[in-house]
Amino acid sequence: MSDMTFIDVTAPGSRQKQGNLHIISSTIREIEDIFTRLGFEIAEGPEVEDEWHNFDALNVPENHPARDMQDTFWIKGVDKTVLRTHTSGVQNRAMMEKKNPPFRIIAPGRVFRNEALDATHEAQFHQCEGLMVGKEISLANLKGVLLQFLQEFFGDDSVSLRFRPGYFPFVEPGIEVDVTCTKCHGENKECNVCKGSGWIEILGAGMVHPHVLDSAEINSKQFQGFAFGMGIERLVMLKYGVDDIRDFYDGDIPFIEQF
Amino acid sequence: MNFSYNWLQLHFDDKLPKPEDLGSVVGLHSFELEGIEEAPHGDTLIDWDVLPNRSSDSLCYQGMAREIGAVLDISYKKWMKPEIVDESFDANLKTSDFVRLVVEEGVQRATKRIATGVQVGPSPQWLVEMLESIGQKSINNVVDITNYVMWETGQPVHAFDYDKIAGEGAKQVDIRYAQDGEKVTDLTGAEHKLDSSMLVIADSEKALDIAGVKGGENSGVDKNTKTVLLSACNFDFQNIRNTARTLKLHTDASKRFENEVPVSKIDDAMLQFAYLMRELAQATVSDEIVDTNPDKEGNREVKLSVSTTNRILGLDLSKEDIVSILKRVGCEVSQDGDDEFAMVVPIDRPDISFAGDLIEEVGRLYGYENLEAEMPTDGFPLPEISNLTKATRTISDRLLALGFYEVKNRTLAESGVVELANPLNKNAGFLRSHLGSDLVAKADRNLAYTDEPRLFEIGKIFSGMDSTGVLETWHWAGVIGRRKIKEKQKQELFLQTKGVVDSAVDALGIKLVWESHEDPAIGAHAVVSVGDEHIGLVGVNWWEINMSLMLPHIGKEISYKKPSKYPRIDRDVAVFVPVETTVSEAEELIKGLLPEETRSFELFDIFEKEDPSAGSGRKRKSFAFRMVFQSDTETLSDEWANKVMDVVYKALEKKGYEIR
Repeated sequence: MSDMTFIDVTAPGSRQKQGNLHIISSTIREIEDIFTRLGFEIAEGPEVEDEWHNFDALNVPENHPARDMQDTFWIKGVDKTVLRTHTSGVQNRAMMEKKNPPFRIIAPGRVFRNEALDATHEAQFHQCEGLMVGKEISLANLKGVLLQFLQEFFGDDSVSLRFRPGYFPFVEPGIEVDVTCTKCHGENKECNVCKGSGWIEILGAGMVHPHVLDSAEINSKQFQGFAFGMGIERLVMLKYGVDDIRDFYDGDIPFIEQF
Repeated sequence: MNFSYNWLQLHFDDKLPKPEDLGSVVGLHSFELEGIEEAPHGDTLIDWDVLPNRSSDSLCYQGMAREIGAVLDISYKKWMKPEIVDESFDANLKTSDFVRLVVEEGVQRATKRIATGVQVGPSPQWLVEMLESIGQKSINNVVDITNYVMWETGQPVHAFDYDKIAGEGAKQVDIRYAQDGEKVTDLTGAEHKLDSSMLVIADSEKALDIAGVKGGENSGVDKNTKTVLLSACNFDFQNIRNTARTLKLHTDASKRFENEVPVSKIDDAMLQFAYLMRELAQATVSDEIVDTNPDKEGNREVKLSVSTTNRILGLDLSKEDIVSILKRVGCEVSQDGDDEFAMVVPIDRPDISFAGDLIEEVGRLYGYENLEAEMPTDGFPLPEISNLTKATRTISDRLLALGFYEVKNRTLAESGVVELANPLNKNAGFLRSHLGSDLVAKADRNLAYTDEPRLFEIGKIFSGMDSTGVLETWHWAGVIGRRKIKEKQKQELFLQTKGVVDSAVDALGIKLVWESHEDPAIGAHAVVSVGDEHIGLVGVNWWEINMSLMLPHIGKEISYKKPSKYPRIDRDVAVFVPVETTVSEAEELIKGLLPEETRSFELFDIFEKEDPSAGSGRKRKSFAFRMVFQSDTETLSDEWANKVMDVVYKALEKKGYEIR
């Protein structure tokens, strides 16, 4: 034998202990990265929003149930001011700032609903808004962009999507988007994710309502576009099987370090 | 809403696809399929989630049958079993001899019709079965008819026992606002206390029912009823919504009124109501309808163009394609043209009011599944990355490498500056005004898992408000959790914290200025600034910094210098200094003496020790500095370095420091 020193290469290497991003942040980052590659700019808006941006500018009528005390948190002592109920309020802000189409933005952020807490309801959660406006941006383009996004997000080129009619006051036509079940791929009638249908409802979308363009001083005769909004917690819950939305906000390292 | 498959089938001569197939085809083109279940009498219930904007026309069998006809492109029958053939009723019986109707604002239309010689009894088997298949109990023929008419037409109707209405001759019936505190006992015996925003149908003495919501006990039909006042009204939808919410009384009727039942539905409902009273309760029904608003709504015309339709949908349909699809939902061309044309839309489709609504009909009935996915080709500007995104990502990445976990805490807090008008509970009545305290609490919680939880958060805080708005700012905060921090560990731990903060912002090209500060509430800490602006506080094991104030300062200035080819010389110097001396004092002293060949100069060790010369436990401190010299033009000699160090030693000694 030579006098070479024996090295136990099976002993664990000394590693610098690393932390981890919260899964909501890393998911938002992933979404931002995909859309940035597709040419979208990241926009931002306030969490405390005036009623006009949160509702009026989005064609939500004065008497819409969403404006009732039950669903929306109102700020005391400041007139007509709410905790934003969706990221859609950024639509008007982004359009007013950009002024001239074409443009495309996404706006991730925190939103609030006055709802009692349970496994699927939180008073706060996160959404990502998307908006693309140009001369010819069509519903077929919405399908193209979302398909590209979803295939990348789920890391699976076989993912497909389908459009169903939906209703949101700020789009017309309004669309509900389903994605093929990422768990059973439509092959398990007992699947607890898609309930055997093979499809999962994943986001709401549609063609921007002309009133929404008009309220941002964009000529709706000349320009058109699509908008979409998705719930980040919902995406994460689907992707990783997290079954209680409250887990996101407990701040426990054993939760955070897994992702 | 749960729809009976067999009931729907009665509206069609063609055989409908089997329930699963019907459920999914309507699910794809109209309303989401929520479920399918078996029902009594060999029936199947299909649950479709009728969209909010279609609830005015499709929460009923007539409406859903029309929708199915449009989706499958087959013809449907508006009237089914029993088919209504004779629309005229008794001309000699005058409703106006029985009733005078007085209504207030908020009642868009009220209609009444008298029926005499009514025989209250059981319903025929077919009606019992239809109601049972959708989970409704049969009561008697008259009550069942009112239910049936509502499910069929979507228009709630009510039957009053005429003899229970106070008055003589043409009795006055009011639809008026209730008095505050006025009580009504409904058909189930439950009592409701009303307020003056709620509408009631009343006689000269008492309220007979809660308008649009529920019938009253005192005027309901029973087995002795002989004369029935048929009633079909339309109310302001918001008023009914508020009433139902306030009373927590959500009924099948209120649900329909809340969704704006088209006013014209009264005509269909009154016709079917009268017809069935005659056929099933042997009533003589007046031909005369007392009607507060008999004016027919005019036809609504909506303009559309072929080019816009195709541009919005991303399709290439011909005008013929578009027209034939829209005819399926009951639209008719009223004004023709090559590209632009106009269509009359069905009176009971209030959701169709402009071209976009028609385009939606074309899109969904053509089938979104037939739409090709196409990437956009418009020339778009390239996206810019904001400072907020840059800062968030850079800081986070640095902290992760230093062993920190990112948490997301709740915005709603127990205390703060900005308060909610309608909090969920009193522990969450404010918007957070800082991130720190929650973060510290989460660190404590994590001591259960690890001895030194390192946590950070980047999030919005709400620091002030006035009548025009709320001030919100991005903060970033962090904590190094410890079970207990001993006095003598504080300096060392503070330096760890400071090191973390500095290395995080360093990557953004930001140099923080550190100043010592005391506050009895939070203990010894540093105030950090960029330029002249205070941007945050750093404590022994925590920090909280206003990130919004930091953002304008982001950006590294790089001035390139060619690396030297000559060897370097390292020199250390360690000194004992009085305990109150700060590192920066000693640093300043040395820095001024160093030549331009100095590549780096930094503290690498610091400790406190008893001072043997002072006695009585007084302490002194040791600082050890390292400097590196290197020239761009020559090899430096040891002698050269010794000379530099001699100058340094002399100056330190002169200051009274002891060289070790």
